[in-house]
Order: sequence, then structure tokens, then C-alpha cells
Amino acid sequence: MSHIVSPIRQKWLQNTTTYGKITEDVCRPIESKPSMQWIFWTLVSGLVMLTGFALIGWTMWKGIGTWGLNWTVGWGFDITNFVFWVGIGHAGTLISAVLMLFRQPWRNAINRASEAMTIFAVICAAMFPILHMGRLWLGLWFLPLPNTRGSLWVNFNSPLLWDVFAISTYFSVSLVFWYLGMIPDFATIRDRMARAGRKLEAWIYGIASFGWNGSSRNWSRYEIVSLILSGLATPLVLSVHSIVSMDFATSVIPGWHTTIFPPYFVAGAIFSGFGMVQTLMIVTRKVYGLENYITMDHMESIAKIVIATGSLVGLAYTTEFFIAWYSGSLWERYIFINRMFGPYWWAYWAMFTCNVVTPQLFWFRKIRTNMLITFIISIFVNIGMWFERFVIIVSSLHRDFLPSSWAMYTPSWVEAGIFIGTFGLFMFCFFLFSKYLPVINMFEVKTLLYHPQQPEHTKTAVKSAN
Amino acid sequence: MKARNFVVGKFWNPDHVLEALDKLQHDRVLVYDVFSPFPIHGIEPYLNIKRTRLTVASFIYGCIGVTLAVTMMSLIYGVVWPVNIGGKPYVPWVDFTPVAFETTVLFAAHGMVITFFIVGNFWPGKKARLFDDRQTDDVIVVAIDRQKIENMDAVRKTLTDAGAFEVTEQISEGR
Amino acid sequence: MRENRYWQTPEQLHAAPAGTDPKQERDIPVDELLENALPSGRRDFLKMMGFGLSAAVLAACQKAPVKYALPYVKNPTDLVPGIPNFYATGFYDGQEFSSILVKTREGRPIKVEGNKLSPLHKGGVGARAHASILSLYDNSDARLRQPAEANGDQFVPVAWDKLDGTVPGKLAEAANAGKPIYLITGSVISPMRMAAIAAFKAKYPTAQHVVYDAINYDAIAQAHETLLGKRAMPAYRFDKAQVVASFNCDFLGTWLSPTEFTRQWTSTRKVTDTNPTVSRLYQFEAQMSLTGANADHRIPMKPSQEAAALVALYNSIAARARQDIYNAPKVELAGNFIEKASLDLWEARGKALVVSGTNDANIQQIVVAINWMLEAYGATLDLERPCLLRSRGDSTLEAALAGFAGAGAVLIHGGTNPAYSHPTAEAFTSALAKVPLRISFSSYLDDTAALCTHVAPDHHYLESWGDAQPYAGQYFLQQPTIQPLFKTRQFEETLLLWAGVKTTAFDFLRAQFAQAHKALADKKDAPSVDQLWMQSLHDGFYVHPSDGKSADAPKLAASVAPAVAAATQAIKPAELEVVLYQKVAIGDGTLTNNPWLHELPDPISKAVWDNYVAVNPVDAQAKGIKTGTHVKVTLGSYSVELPAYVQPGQARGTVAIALGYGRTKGGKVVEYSGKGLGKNAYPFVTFAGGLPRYSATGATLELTGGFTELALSQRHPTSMGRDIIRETTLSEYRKNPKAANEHQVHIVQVFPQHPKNGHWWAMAIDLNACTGCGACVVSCVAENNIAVVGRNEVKRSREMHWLRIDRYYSTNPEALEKQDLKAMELPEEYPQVIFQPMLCQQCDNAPCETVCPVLATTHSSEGLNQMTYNRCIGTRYCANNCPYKVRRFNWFNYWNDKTLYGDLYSHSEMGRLVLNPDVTVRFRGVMEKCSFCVQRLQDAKLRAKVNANSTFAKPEDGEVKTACQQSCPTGAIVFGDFNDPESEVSKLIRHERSYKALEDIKVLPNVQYMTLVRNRTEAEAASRARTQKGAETHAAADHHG
Repeated sequence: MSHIVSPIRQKWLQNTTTYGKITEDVCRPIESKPSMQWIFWTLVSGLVMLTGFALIGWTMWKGIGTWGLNWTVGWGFDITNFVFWVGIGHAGTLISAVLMLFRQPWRNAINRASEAMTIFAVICAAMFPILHMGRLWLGLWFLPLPNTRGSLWVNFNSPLLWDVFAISTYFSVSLVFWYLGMIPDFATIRDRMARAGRKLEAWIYGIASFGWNGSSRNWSRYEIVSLILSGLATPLVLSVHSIVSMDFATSVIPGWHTTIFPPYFVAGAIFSGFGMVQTLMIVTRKVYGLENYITMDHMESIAKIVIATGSLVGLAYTTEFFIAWYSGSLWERYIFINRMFGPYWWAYWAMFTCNVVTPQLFWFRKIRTNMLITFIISIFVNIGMWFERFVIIVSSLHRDFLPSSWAMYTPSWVEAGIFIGTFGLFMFCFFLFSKYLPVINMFEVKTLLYHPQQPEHTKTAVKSAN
Repeated sequence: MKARNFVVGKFWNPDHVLEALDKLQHDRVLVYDVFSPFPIHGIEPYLNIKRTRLTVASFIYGCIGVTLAVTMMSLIYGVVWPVNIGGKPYVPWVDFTPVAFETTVLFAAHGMVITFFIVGNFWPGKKARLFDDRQTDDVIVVAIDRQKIENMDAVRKTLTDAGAFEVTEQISEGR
Repeated sequence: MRENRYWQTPEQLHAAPAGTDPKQERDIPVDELLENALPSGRRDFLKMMGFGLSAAVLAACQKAPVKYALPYVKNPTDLVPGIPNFYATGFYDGQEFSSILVKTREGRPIKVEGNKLSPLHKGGVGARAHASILSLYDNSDARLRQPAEANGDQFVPVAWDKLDGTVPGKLAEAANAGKPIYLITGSVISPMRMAAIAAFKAKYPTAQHVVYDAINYDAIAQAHETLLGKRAMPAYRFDKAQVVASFNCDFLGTWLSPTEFTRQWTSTRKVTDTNPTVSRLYQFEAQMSLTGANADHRIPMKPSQEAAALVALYNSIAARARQDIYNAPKVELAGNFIEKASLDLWEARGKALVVSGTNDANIQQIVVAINWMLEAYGATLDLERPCLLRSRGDSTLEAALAGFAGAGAVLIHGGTNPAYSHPTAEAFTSALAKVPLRISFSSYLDDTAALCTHVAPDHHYLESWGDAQPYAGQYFLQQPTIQPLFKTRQFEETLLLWAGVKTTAFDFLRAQFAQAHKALADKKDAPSVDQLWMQSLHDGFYVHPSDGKSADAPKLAASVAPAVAAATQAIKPAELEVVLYQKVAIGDGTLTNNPWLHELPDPISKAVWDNYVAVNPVDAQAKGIKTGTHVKVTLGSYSVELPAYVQPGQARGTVAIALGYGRTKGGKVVEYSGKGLGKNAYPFVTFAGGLPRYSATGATLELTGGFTELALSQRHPTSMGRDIIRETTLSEYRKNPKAANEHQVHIVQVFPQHPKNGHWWAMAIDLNACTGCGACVVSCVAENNIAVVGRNEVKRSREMHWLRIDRYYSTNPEALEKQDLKAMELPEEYPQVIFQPMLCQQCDNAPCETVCPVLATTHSSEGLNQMTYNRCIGTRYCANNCPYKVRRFNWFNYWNDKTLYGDLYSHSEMGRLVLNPDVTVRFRGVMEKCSFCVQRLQDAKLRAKVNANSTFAKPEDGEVKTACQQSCPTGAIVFGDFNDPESEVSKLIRHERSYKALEDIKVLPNVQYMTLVRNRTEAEAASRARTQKGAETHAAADHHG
């Protein structure tokens, strides 16, 4: 008498018969020696990361003047990158939390990697609000700390301060969620290492595993905790990007001063996030041969989400224009016409093509299932979403109310370098992750295996006497 | 907890385990615990595991968070240091919302997880007690306290029939 | 470290470096004390302990490092640390004179302010006078700190005694040998200097006084001599003129005495309920000048057309005045404005004025004749108390050059720089080379001084005694405000010393004064000379009581016919004509080593740090020229290659180049990190009838293919038809005082406003009075320690000025009606210009405050939007969210980062002595902006309390003046307490003309603007009405937003 299981689950696993095989497949990269390829790319990304840090150092030493900003366009690459990276982060939480609430079993295979993506993306993002002040050492003043300066507090009206709370909460909660998810897998690796007689690894993963032994009592608590966490993470992920969007929505600048921003930004975030998930998954499953776990069906459902969110974003763009016209406000009208045909027209059209047009190709199964084209499109999505933030920030600022103060913004190589550096940081972290941590959530995938076959070692086991 | 003698049945299929547990329960045999590499749904009644109250805890933590945040902000702006910011009222309730919300989530999430670690007695570097070094991989272990067994043969038979590929006796401190 | 050590007090100068002072080495007699105390008990032991301890402490104190900033040992009289002292003195840079107050703090002058009492400016000060205070602290290598002697091709410092020992002998030698001695100066307006020169000439009979001005105005005096028999330049009274026709004359910007004329003219432009009249100004000119920008009717006119135009005007007025008419070549000017002007002038005769800026005797004669017919003399022109701003010497430089060959010596006053500014500089330099003894009095090693054998550097004017007589009967005094910083000596003293008169400048001046005013003092019940002196020194001037007899209109001594003939024959129209003009800030280039002046944007082009070739838009399009394209202008043998600037309003077929640039020697700024600033246009000056002309025909222009981005502080030319500036015509205004200002936004406040119980500071800016001259900007820079950022930073649009003056060109009315956005970005070929001073509007619902995460900017209970610099972490969110874009960010550490702009002395240790101690200097990463001069507000509030000896006392209305308001020659800026219903500002704010910029976004600014009222002829008004409509409909459209 066992519980009922719907056979639909089957399709999320392919040619996998025993639990042991799952463990084998997932742990292989961790246990085997690092490949030359892996070493090379890790070094490259690490180098890029260090260059980025060097340029950050230069900025801190010399001043924000080393960037291309001016007093008309006070934000450029810095905040663009900030919003871009935060956006990317969102897909991870969405997959791990929201899909969990909706009981989407296919998430089990990809949630670990996408959560990792979230963590690294948010690290990249969180750098910028501190960096763009030019004086790192004042970052502490963001926090509402009691102080000796005549009781000087922070401004709870400021969306930037809301960001501080939102981002830090988001980051820490995601981190905990991610780690909690890995504890049982750490235990698995710990025991495998011990069996293989690799003491050091066994010890390290042992520490990380918090002494997990798979007791049913812990499992039942554990599942509740993850459920509640996802219940908390879901409104969190929505709130974070809404608050980020309020940086703009609550201001008076035409092109920013828009009520549509929160949902629009959230949709955009999920969109860009899934774009990045696609990019990473296509690479990971290929490199580590995990096609059996991250199946074509996975890739397809991701692609479908990309279509949906992409269309949402497109809808948002058009709505903006309609409202700008309908409001009858001279400023609004001008700013949007200027976006399309003004000095930054190229940025606008780059955004529009990449975000609204290209994803529509996913309507065709052939394209959805062709990993090469999917990969290319996912890159387009990333580019497009970066440009969306660039357009919103720069093209709104550079021509606001008084024509006397209109100006152009051209980034300097320093800030461009810092941006590339964040990619270095991101990839570097992701490479380390893919080597030393289980890229697939083993125990959750194991729950997907139905009708397992008897493992060899149990057959040979000696039955106990009499 | 001092070491005791356990009867340990090892399975490779969760369904077999559920069968075994069902039988054992029918035989009034009290099962000490089941160790599995992944959660086996529907096992709780057999081990009479009560639904955890972590949810309630989490809710309470959340309430503490929101109260703290709102109190602090209203004190700072209302009492400690009222200041005219862009012509807004001294205590702008609406603008408190985002911070209040984030603090709620922060407290609820972390509070709950920490509690989970405490009640489950998890801490970094804790030595895991295992009946089988594959119980986190692909073996499911059913452990029964030897003292609690009157009819040893019946239990062994039940386990074997249910599909245990190995039944042994082990000295252990349990969980 | 003893070299370049600057002393801030005399004590310091003599202070010895650390350790060498015997007083510092005093020893405490520890040992003997111990000996005496050796046989001791417990109490003694304790004593010893205590003593030992304190001895140790004292000893430690003795060894403390000695700082050079020593406190006053004896407090100087009337110097309270922290309380500024004001001294009345005078500023004259060879171009214009202004009577000023100098604000000194702890003995150092830090700010120039207007002298309210002065009859000339009534408190207004021009940009150059403001900036001149920075030149005092110029420690660039080219500023001479002691006399020097040419040795080979470099200069070695010498002692004054050595110089005084050798020079007079040589001079005497030359004089005895009958060789001429030339003393070259600019126009001398100082009786004292005149006397000194006289003494010099008395001692050396062969000495000749040569007067040379870079910009020459002699034609006017000559014309008056010919026609009216009196060689004088009349005093112009624009304040009495109802109609002014100005030909190629930028009297609001640079011509003769612009600051004074600006005050006079705008006094006729202020519209009030009691006086709803505005004078009318017709401007005929080639390059878009400040005056043209403010004119009611600006008519583009080539220089070659001027004579014909004037003759036409003459004829049309003569016809009305029943005078004989001369035939003149036909002249095509847009819209037959000669006729309209003549009608207006004639109807307003007695209150009409015609001026021409062309330095041509014939043209000026025609002008004189016209003014004479218009009964201007005795009304709008005063020959009885003529203008003495331009003087004559024994001969002109051109005449003198011939004599150089046989000359014994040439002495050149520092104010003049012929080697740079003379049209035929080579002729001058080569002639000068022949003279054995060449002495310059320049404070800088400028182009001319570098050619001399000796340099005897003069004081800065703030270190000198002196006087000035810009107008007959008006006597101004100049007093030093600081001890000489370097081993320099005043020009007059040197001259007198060499003339054998051993005296100090002060004694000499005092004697002169006594002599000059003896007559006055002798009158009964008149103040004694000493009283007069003290009074004049306090006020800064003394005005001779008028003898009351009214000047009877002068008779025409001769016919204007020959002049007309000559002028009309002289016309030779050409393909391309070059106009040479001065920039408001740089002028003739005397003060060019001054970063503040270079950073002050040109009022029209908004370009900084460079001169350029201004080209008409249509011409530019035809030739494929864009702003920044390198063009080569050639005239005769000389040519310059400069970036072009497409200048709306520039007459077709003409280009304009600013004088005063392209100097090669004389300071770090001049050399601007070795590259120099702009190109020298003086060689384009041509001579006609012995007088230099500042326009020339027959030039050629070619593209060289280069491109340099000009540093512009404003990049977008038009207002895009937005409701930022409101403008109407006098006729409209008469019909409806709210014309163009009907629309008032209905403000809905979500929150109750915070009460302002004490003061409520507010500002009203009258767009009708603002001419856009930019004096306020420099004043703001000086008051608020605003950093100079240099050319490249301005190119990146990072200038730091808290107060900027927005300049908008009118756009094509059709485009406006069609709302063709692309077309609206382009100004008309001959646009209307409007200026709008833009500073922090101190909004009550300030968007910047809400978004600052750390509360670095908050609202005060007096309605001020305050910055807390040391709390600012530099997120720039506030600047992004500022609708007026008036917040400035310190992108670099502008105050000491020399890598940015080369080493400008304004950032050097000494240059920083000009800083206002009441205002923080901002670090990099800090946001800053206009504070309504909060330091002045606090000061005024405290003084009021102290004076009234009551905590509740408030400053009187008008007692508090912001820096910009204080310096404004026109009183366009009014500041005060809006809570006081009687204050001027609250009256203005309640006036019909008053409006808020961007009112519809509901940020409740505390700065209000007053509608601009132009006095256009009816026809014009009608045609412009459409433009207004266009603007308003779209303004209206936007008010739903």
C-alpha cells in the first residue's frame, strides 16, 4: 500500500533507473579531476574579475569623475548594471520558490543552479549602489545605525534606502534557502568521499552538511521549512524588483514618473532571469552531460516562460507609450518620442528587437528544441534587457524639463571595464560552483524516480544468518 | 543518549519500506526511525511524527520584525528627530511600508531557519550518526529498538518479506 | 621650505623657523632645584614628584612644533576675527571703471562688492571687477615678485635699490643727449597718475607720454571736435532715453562703460503698475552681442552697411527736422527698420539716443549730427560733464614708433601690452628692440615685458593707493586693502622716485587731493580738506556739487556733408566681412590670466575657455560648417585657424572673432598647460584715417578639415516651446497685465504644508531687467568658493556654477505650431534671445530631499533647501531628481587635483587665500548647490539681533542680500522675507507678472520669475503673437500632466 504517484513525473527523468545512478551522475564532476577546459575558463573569468576590481580601485582613488557621467545624467552604467543584475537574480528565486509553491516537479532539476545564479547575480548587483558613490567607506551610512552625530538617521522616504533593505533581505534569504537545499546533498557527498577514503573532502563536506543523516523526523521538518521559505521568498522576489522600480517610479523625471513600473520591472526581471537560466543551463548540461536531468522538456518550458514574459514586457512598452500620449503631458510625450527618435534611438531599438521580437521565435517547436538557436536568442534577451535599463535611465535623464541642461552621456572605458568585470565575477563564481557543489538537487530529483530497479550492490549483499 | 542495540533493515525501494512499516505498525512494533536519502512522503503516520510548529514560530518572528521596524521608524521621525523632508509629514506612514515589509520577511525567514537548526540539533561539523554509509545515497534504513521487540523472528521476517535486502543488528546511539 | 613660504601676517614674515628662536630653547632649571631639594622628606618628595611631572609637561610643550599661523600678539584696530571689514576702493583695468567695496576677512580681501553709494553703478559690479580679486593671489610663475633684469634671454631678479641706482642715470643721460624718452600707458583716468607723469616729464624734458589702448574710442572725441568744436567724449545717459538706436555698439556688454550703461538702460525697462512704459531699443549689428540679445528689434547689418544705414537714418530724420539731405547708396536691411526707428526717434526727440560702436570719425560725425537733430545733447548726452574714461597723451603709439629708432628709453605701463594687442605688433617689437633701455612696469612677464631690459613690477590695484575721474566732477578714491604680497612697488612711486621726488604713493595722493579740493574746502561752511578726505575715503568718491547752470544745446560748428561723403565712399562691400568683438568676461585680454573669467560662459554662445569664429547658420550650412569645425580665416597676410561656432543672429556674409585671446606669455592660465587659450585676432585690426577699425572686409574663410569640440556650458539652443520662460509685448501687457501669464496651476496639496513662522526666504527675478551679463555668476563663485574645473570638465558638462544663466533662442514659429520636434531644436537664423537665471529654486516640496537616502539634504523652517556636505555620500539621486538640474557634483577633488586642468593658481596654496571662510570647501563625491547664501542670511539675522539687542529682532527688508543680487547692476534679482507682506519680494511675488518655472510639477519653488515684456512695434508684435500662441497651447497641454 503505497501513495499514488502520477506517471507524468516520469518524463522529467530519462534513462535513469536507480537512485545510485543519480548520485553518480551528479557527483561525477565533484569527484573527478578538474578538466583543462574548466581550469582555463576559470582562470580567464578570474582575470576579467580582477581587472574589474582594479578599475574599481582606480575609481575609488580618483573619483567618480573617471566615469562618463555629468550633472544632467547622474546615473549611467552603474545603476543600469545594478538593475540588470538584480533582474537576472530573480529567475532563480522564482524557479526555486514560486514553481515549488505551484508544485512544478520539473523545477527540481534546475533550481539548484538557478539559485546559485541568483546569489552570484545579486552579489554583482549589490556592488553598484555602493560603488556609484565613489567613496566606499561611506557605505555604512546607508544603515540606520545609532550614532554620535546628533542622532543622525537615514531617510525612510528614499527608495534608495528601501533598496538597501530589499536587496540585503533578498540576498540573505536566498543564500539561506540555497544552502538549506544543499545540506542533504552535502551529506551524500560526505559519505561518498568517506567511502572513497578521501578524508579531507569528507571532513569539509562533513562540516558543511551539519551532520545530516536523513532521519524522517528531520525530513518532515525540512520539507515544511523549505515550503515556508518559498512562501516567503515569493512575495520577496516580487517586492524587491518593485522597490527597485520605485527608484524611478517615485521620482518626478518624465519617463521615470510612471505607475506601471513595478509590474513592468518584475516581468522584465523574470524575463531576463530566464534568459540567463537558458544561457547557463545549455552550457552546463552540455559540459557535464546532464541531458538526462535537464531534459529538452525543461528547456522547452523555460522557452515558453520566456515567450510569455517577453510578450508581457512588450505590452508594458506599448502601454507606456499610450499613457504618455493619453496623459497629455508635454514632458511625457516628448520623452517617449525622444526615446524612439532622439539621440539614443539605437539603444531603444536594440532593446525592442531583442526583448519583444526575437523571443517570439520560440513559438516554433523547431527553434525551441534547437539548443544553438535557443542559446543565441537567450544572449539576445540578456543584451536587450540590459538596454532596457540603459534606455530607461539615460534617455529619460539626458533630456528632462529644461532644455538648457540637456546633455549627452558617453561611458568611459573605466565604467565599461567595471561592467565587464562583474561578468568575470559572475562566471568565476559559477565555475567554482559547478565544480565543487552539486549543480543538481539530488534528493529532489530522487523523489522524481518512480519504480527504481534494484541496485547491484544490494543483490550481492549477504542475508543475515538464520 | 547511551548506545543501544538496534535491529536495522536496509531497503532500496521506498515503497517496500512503506509496506514494511505498515506491517510493523499492524504488529504493534514501534519503529525507532527511518533514514532515507530523500523524503518519503506519507511516512509520518507510521513513525507518529507530529506536524512541526515551525510555521507558527515563523509567523511570530515576522510579527516581531514588523513591530520593530515600524516602532523604530515612527520613534525616529516622530520623537527623536522630526525633520521636514520634501514637505512630507513628519511621520509618513505610507513610506514606511517597504522597509516594514522587508524587515518582516527578514525576521520570519532567518528566525525560522535558525529555530529549525536548533530543534533538529544541526550545527556545522556535527558528526553524523549513520546505520549505513549509503543511507544518504541509495539505501533506506529502518531502525527498530531491540529492547522494544518481543518477537525478533517475526520482525526480521516482516522486513525481509517487505523487500529488505539486509537485516542486521547494530550498536548505535541512534540519531 | 623657506622658499615660496607665504606669510599671512607681518609677524609671520619675520617669524624664524622652528627651533632657531632662542626663546623656544628656554630651559627649566630642573637640576639645581633637585640639588636644593635633595635632603628631603615625604612632602618634598611629593613636591618633587608634582614638579617633575609638570616640568616634564612644560618641557614637552616647549618642543611642540611651531606653526606659522601665529595669533595676533597685539590685536590690530578694527579687526575682529570672524567679522569682515569693507573698504571702498576703485577698479580700473584700462577698460571700465567701477567703484567697489572690498570685503576683507582677517586682513585678506576675499570679495568684491558693489558700492551702493556710487553714482555710477549704484551697487552693480561687472564680471571682471569681481574676478580681479583672484588675480591678487596669482602666484603663477609669470607674476613677478620683485624687479628683474634681462640677462640674455632670461630675467634675473634684482633689488629695487640697484634698479633705482642705475635707471635714473641712464634716463638723465638720454634726456641730456636730447634723445626722446617714451612713456607708454593706457588711458589715464587718475589725476594722481597724471601728476606723477607730469613730474616725470618735468625731470626729463625729452619724455613723451604716449597713450595706447588696445581698444580705441578716439573717433567719438574727434567727431565731436569736428562738428561741435569740443574734443570730448560725452557722458551717455541711457537712463534718460526712451528710444535708443544702436549701430554695432554693444553698450550692455563691452562698450566703454557697460556695467554703468546696463544699469542706466534697464532702469528704463522695469515695468510696474505705476509706470507701465518700457524704452525701445533698435540694434543694428553684425555679430550677436549682449545688447542685440536684449534689443526689442535686432536688425542684422554688415559692417560695410553701417555708413549707408546711418546716412539713411540721418536723411529720414533730417527730412522731419527740415535739415538738408544727402544722397547715399541704397541699403537693404530686413523690414525697413531704419524708417521705423527714425519715426520712433523723432517722436521721442529729447529722449532719444543714437550710438555707434564703430571707431570711425566720419561715421561718428553722422551719429553726432543725428543726435544733435534729436536734441540729445543736454538730455541723453552730456558734454558739460564729459566722460573721461579715454584720455589722450602727447602722441599715439603709431606716431611714436617712428621715433623709437633714436629713442633713449621706453617705459611701458603694465596695463598695456602692445607686443600682443597692437595690430602691427611686429613693427612695435622690432622698433622696441632698437631702444637701449626698455622698462616695463607690468606685474606679469607678459608679451611686452618679456622684450624689455628691466621690469619694475607694479602693485595689484588692491595693494595701491590711487584715484580716478571717470567723469568730470566725479572723483573716486582707491585705497589698498592688504599689504603688498610681493616685493613690488607702485607705478607712481617708481616714476616719482626716478623723477627725483622721494615720496610714498599715499603722501603724493593726499597732497594731490588737498590741492584739487582746496578750492572747494575754502568755500565757507564747506567741510575741511581732512573731512573731505575722510568722507571720500569712506564713501569711495566725492562728487563736486553741480554749478547748477544747465548746458545750452551746442551749435553745429561744421557741416556733416564731408563726413557723409567720405563715409559713403569708404564703403567697399565684400564677400566676407570680419567683425572683431570683445567678450563680456575677457574684454581686451588684460585680465586674461584669471580662471574665473575663462570659466564664466559667454552670455551668448555659452562657450568657455576659448574664442572661435562665429558663423551665420545659413552660411554654415552652405559651407558645411558645424560648431567645432576648424575654419581658417585669412585677411591680408594674417590668418587664424579656429573652431567655428554656428551663431544664430550672425549677419550673413560676416564672421565674428573675439579679441583678447591667444596670448602666449603672462601666466599659467594664459599658457593653459602649454596649449594657450584661443587665437589672437588683433592682427585683423585695420587702420582707417589713423584710427583702428574693429571690423574688416575682404576676408576669406576655408575649412581645414580639423574638428575641436568647443566647451559649451549650454548645449541646447531653444526652449522647445516649453512653458519655462513667459514673454509678452508692451502692447499686450498694457491690455492685460497678466498677458502670457494667465495660466496659474491649481495646486492640490496631499499633505498639509509645514508652517514657516519665522522667515520665509524667497526670490523674485525680473526677466525684463536681466540682461544676462553674468556678473552674478562670478559673484556667486567668489562668495561660495566654487571650484574652477577647466575646459575638459566643462566639455563633459560638469561645470560647478551654482547659478547659471540659461539662454534660449526663439525657434521657427511654424515648427512650433506644427510641434515638429526636430525643427524646434533649431533656432531661427535671426532669433529673439531670452535669458533666465537658473539657480536652486528652494522648492517647498523638494524632490531632491525625498530621495536622499541619508538625509544630507533637508528643508529648513525658513523654506531653505539645505545641503549637509559632510553627510552627503554622493548617490547623485537628488541631482537626477531635480527638475531644474541645478545640483552640482564634485566629480573629482577639484580643489587640489591638478591633473585635471593643469595647474591653475586658483587651486594653489596662495590662490586659496581668496576662499570665503564662512563657506565650506567641498570634497569629491559631495553634492552642492545654491544655498541662497545662507551664510549671509545667518550673518544678517545675528547682526539684527545684536544691533537691536533683542532675540526677536529681524533684519530689515533689503538688509539681506544674496551675492548674485548684490552684484546685479540692474537689480533684476530681489530677495527677502515672503512672510513680511511689505517686503519688496513679497510684493513682486504677488504681482501679475510673477510666475513659477515648471509650476505644474508642483514642487512649490520659492524662486519666482517676472514675465519678460518686450517693447516691439505693433506690426512685429502681431507677427510674434503666433509664436506665443504656439508656446501657450503646448504649455496648456502640459498642465494636465
